[in-house]
Amino acid sequence: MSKLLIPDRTALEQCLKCNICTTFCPVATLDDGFPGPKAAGPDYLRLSLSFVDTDVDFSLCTNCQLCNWACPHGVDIATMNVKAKAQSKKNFRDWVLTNPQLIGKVASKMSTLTNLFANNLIGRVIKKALRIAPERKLPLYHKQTFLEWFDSKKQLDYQEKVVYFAGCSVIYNDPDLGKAVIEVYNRNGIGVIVPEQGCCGVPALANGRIDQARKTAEKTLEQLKPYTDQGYAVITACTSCGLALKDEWHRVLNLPRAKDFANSVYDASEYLMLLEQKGELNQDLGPIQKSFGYHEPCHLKAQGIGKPSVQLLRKIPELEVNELDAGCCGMAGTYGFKKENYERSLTIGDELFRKIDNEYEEVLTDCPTCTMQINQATKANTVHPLVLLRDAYKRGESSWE
Amino acid sequence: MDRTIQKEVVVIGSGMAGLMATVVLQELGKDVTLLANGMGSLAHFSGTVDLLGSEEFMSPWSGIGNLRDTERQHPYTSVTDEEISKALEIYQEVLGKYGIEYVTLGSNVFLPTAIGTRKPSYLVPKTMLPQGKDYTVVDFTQFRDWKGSLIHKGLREHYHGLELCSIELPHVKSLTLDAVSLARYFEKAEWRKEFISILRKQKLKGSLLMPAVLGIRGHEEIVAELEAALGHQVIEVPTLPPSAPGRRVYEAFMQRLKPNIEILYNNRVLGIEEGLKLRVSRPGRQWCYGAKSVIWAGGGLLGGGLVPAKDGLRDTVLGITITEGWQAGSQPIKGLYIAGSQLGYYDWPLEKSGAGVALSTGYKAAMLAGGGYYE
Repeated sequence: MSKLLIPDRTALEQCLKCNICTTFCPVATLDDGFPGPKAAGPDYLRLSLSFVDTDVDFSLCTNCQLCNWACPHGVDIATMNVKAKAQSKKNFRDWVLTNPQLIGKVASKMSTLTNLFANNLIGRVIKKALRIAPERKLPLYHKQTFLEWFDSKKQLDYQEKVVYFAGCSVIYNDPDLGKAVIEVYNRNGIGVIVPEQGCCGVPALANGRIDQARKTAEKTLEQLKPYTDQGYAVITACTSCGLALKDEWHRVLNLPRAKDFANSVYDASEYLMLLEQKGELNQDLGPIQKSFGYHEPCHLKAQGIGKPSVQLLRKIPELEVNELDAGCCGMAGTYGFKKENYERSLTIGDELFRKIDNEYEEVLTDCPTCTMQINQATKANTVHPLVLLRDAYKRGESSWE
Repeated sequence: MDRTIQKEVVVIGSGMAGLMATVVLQELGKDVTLLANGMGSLAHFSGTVDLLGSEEFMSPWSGIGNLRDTERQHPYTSVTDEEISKALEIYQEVLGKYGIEYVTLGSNVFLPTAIGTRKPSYLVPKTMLPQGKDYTVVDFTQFRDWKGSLIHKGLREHYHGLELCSIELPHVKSLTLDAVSLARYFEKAEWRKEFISILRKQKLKGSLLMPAVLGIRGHEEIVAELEAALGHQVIEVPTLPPSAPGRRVYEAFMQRLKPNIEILYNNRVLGIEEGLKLRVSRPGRQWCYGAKSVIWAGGGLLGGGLVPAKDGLRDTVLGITITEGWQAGSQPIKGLYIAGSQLGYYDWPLEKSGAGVALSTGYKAAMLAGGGYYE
C-alpha cells in the first residue's frame, strides 16, 4: 500500500458510519457507480489496512468537500478520497488540465490563435485527442494577462495595502475581475500589491496529483510568505484558491508554515465585510435596478464564512439578490471538462440550471468554474459579485476623485 | 484585523434543539448567528416527534406529569406542558410551511418500525400514520435497510392478516444504497411510473407499508400520486439512518432560517470563556465571537457535543467532564443556556422522549436567551 494512504487512525475512529456525508455527495446521490465518500474514504482505508481489496472508482469524486461540510464528527473524508485518488493512473490529459499556469502562459502568448481555435474544428480535434468533452466551451485567453496589465505605480499612494492573489483564472481568462477587485479596494482607500505568483495547486490536488500540487503550492507560498511575514493580509476573489490557501495547503498538503500563513488569508468579500463591521466600508454605492440569482460555490461553503459577497451586495440600493440555493453546479474545476464526466457534471447541476432558466437572466457567483458551468448550461449571463460592486461604486461616483 | 464579532445571541449546533432555538430567536427579532459543525444529528431523526412513550400509558402528558414527581432532575422538570405545546406548535408551523403536515391524535400512537417492532410516538407526519384494517409490507430487494421478511415476521401479531410482497426497484444497481439516495429516485416522475407499473402486477391488500424514502422535497404529493395510481393507501415507515424524513425536517428549518439568519458551517467552537467570549475554529484560522447570550446545543454522543471520557462524558466546548450530562436549567457560565441531548438524567432512546426534550428545551433556552419572557 502506498505510504500516502496510511491514515491517522484517530481520524478513522471518529467515523460512526452514519452515511450523512453520502447523502450530501452530489455524485453518489445520482450515480450508482460511485459508492459515496464514506465508502471511498473511511471504509476503503479501513479495509486496505486489513489488506482487503476493494474496487472503487475514485476518479468520480469531485473534491467539492461537501462530505467534510456535512460530517458532525470532523472526519476529514475529502482528504481520504483525494489521497485514494492519487493511486489512479496518470495521463497526459490530466497533466494539461492541472497546469493552468503553464497552459495560460502559452495560450496567452498566442491568444488570437488560441481563441480562434478554441471552439471550432481544430478545437474539436484537440479536445478529442485530449479526451475533453467536445461540447465543453473552452475558456478564452487575452493578449495582455492581468499581471502584465497591473501597474504597481498606481498603487503607491495608499498607506494601507493588501496583497492580491489573483489566481490563474483571473490572470489568464478573466482579467476584468482582477481590475474590479483593485478598483473596489482602491475606492476603500486600500492599495493593492500583486506579486509574481503561481498556481494555488487546486487543479492538481483535485486530480489526486498530490506531489505535483505540493510542489506548485510550495513555490507559490514562497512568493507570498515574505508579504505576510511583514504583516500584509492576502486576499483572493476565487473561492477555490481561497480554500487552498486557507486550508488545504496545511490540511492536505502538510506544507510547513502554511498554517501560520493561512491566518493572513481572506476572501476578498470577507475582508470588505470586516471593514464594514468596523464602520470603514465606503458605502457610496449607486443604485442598480436589476434582479440576480446568487449561486453559492461549494468551496465557499467549505470556508465556513457564510456568504460575505451577498452581504456586501445587499448594500447596493435597488438591487435584488435572491439566493438560488439549488446545490452544486457539477463543474468542480477540471472535472466537468473531462469527456467521461461531462454528462454527469450537467446532471449534478440540473436543479440549479432549471431554476436559473426559469427565473433569472443574470446570475452572481464567486467561483470561476461555477461561472463557466452556468454559462455553458443556462441562458444566463454570470457575473462575479465584486464586478457588480465596482459598477455600483461607479454609479455612486460622488466621493471618487 | 480585529477578529471579535459581536452578536446578540449565538446558537451552537444545528440539530433539533439548536434549530428550534434559532427559529424562536428569529421570531423574537434577535440578531442571531448559528454556528454549526456538520449537518447535525437530524440525519438520525426518524421524523416522528416522540414526547414520552411506553406500553404502560397512552397519554404522554400524564407520563410526563408522573415523571416530574419521580425524577427530579429529568429535563422535562425544566419545562411546563404549555412550553412543550408551544414548541410543538412552532415545529408544526415550520414543517407545514415546507409542505409536511403533522398530525396527533392527542395521545400516543404505535407506529411500525423498519425492524418489525412498534414504537409509540405523539406527533407524526401524516404519511406515517397507520390507517385501515389490512396491511401489506412492500419489500424492495435492493434496499438493504428494509427487509420485508423481518418486518413481516415482527409485525404479524399486531397486524392481523399482514401480507408481504417483494419487488425489484427499476434501474437500481447498487446494493449499498442509503435511504436518502433512494429518496432521490422517487423524486423523478419517469422513475415513479416504472415503479408503479411494477407494483401493480403484485397482489396487494389494504394499506401498503413502505420505507420512508418516498422523496425529500414534495413527498406528500409523491405519496398521493402513488396512492391514486395504486388504489391503496401508502404508509411510510421510518428507516435506519441516514433518514429521509430527518432530511426533510432539516430542509424545512433551512427554508425558514436562511432568508435572514446567518448560518456558518464548518465552525467548531473550541471554548467559551467567562463573559461569553467564544473561540471558534474555521478553515484556516480561529475567530472570536462575543455575545449577550449563548445557546449550547451541540448534541450528545451522536451529535458530537459530548465525547466519552474515562470518568464520564466530556463536554467538547466547555471542556468539563460530567457524569450524566448537564442538568436542565444549569448555567455553567452566566448567559449560557444548554438545550437538547447534552442534557443528562434522561434516557431518550428508552423513554422515547428525544424530539420532545430537544424541541421543548430548545424553545425554553431561546425564550430565556432572547428575553422572550420579559417583552
